[in-house]
Amino acid sequence: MVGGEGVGSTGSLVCVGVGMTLGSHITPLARSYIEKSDVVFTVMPDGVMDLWLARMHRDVRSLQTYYREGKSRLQTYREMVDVMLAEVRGGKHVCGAFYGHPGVFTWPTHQAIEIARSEGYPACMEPGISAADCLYADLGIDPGKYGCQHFEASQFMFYRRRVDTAAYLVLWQIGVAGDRSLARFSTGVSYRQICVDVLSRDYNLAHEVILYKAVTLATSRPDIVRLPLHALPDAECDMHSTLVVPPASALEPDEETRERLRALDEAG
Amino acid sequence: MRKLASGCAPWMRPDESEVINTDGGVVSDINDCVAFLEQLGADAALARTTPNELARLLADAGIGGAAAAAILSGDNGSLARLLEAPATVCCLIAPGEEEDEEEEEEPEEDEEEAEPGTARPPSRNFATRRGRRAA
Repeated sequence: MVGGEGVGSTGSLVCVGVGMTLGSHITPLARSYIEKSDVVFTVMPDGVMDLWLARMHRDVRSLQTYYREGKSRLQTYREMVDVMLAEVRGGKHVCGAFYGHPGVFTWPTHQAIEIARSEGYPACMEPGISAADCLYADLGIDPGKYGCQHFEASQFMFYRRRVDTAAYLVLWQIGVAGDRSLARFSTGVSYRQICVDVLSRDYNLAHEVILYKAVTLATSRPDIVRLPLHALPDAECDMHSTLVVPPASALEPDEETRERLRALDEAG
Repeated sequence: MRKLASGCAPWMRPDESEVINTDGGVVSDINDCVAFLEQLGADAALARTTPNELARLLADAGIGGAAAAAILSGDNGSLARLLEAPATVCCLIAPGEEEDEEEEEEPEEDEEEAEPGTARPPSRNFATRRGRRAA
């Protein structure tokens, strides 16, 4: 089914995104892959979305069963890869349906596709509407206006990054910020305090930041909480939360490069 | 219930399409609830419904009692429990750090040929190598 292979000739893998909101975001192609695959594996942020996918296919298997608090999520992700690839190797056309975009802040899909291809199976990814896309729409942010940096919150804390305070900064998975074990489903006030300490290298503690959660069911509204940076540790955060730090400084003209470009124009 | 948007596949698991006996005495079908939510998410005409309009739409769809109350209040957790939806344990699908981060990188040919002191951004190869090893 993927890459022009005939049904039954060999296994294949396609990872599709169903978007963030039930019924609103799924593409015709993603729906078609779900309907026509032999088996569908899912990771959804809401069980009702699993019920929705079960209306499209009789063999929908949630990968939620591999998560367990206290167990490394990397192990969980590897098991997700293994279970999808086992069916591919068994000759089935497999669809991995993930919420949002299947390739954005999503480890198992990239791994599964890379391994499937290395073993000679057709494998591809079809994009979906990601939480970032919803964030841009709901918060009225155009990433092209000032630029936008995206980091996984814990990675942002583990490594020294060059923060451009003239651009937006988005930290994903802020609810588990600083979790070195990958085994927690939330981290607490003291962990977010360290995140604030890291951010305070570049931002004033009074700078307004935004905690954001996208909508999964159309009956809800996006969750948008504006607060000063110093209040972040005590704010309500969970695994759905994303931190947005708006620009805190003006764009700084690069006079040297502008002069070189001016000279180039005049020479031409 | 109201007619669904086209393209919606038929319910294929009749054994799991159970009725919910809600506390309001109204019987709602799981299939009806999910179809209603799908239609609500897909129909521009329903995108800006007021709570009163939503209540009327739910009644028209034959969805009442606790299920309707959960939908009206945006209580996704209660709705999922009422519909006996699969439990959502976690929705994190990206690790902050991969376990082999500290391992020493083997130099590749292009790195060996690079002039000392030449500043370069992390290459695509770097990211790909890490990904392969983690597998």
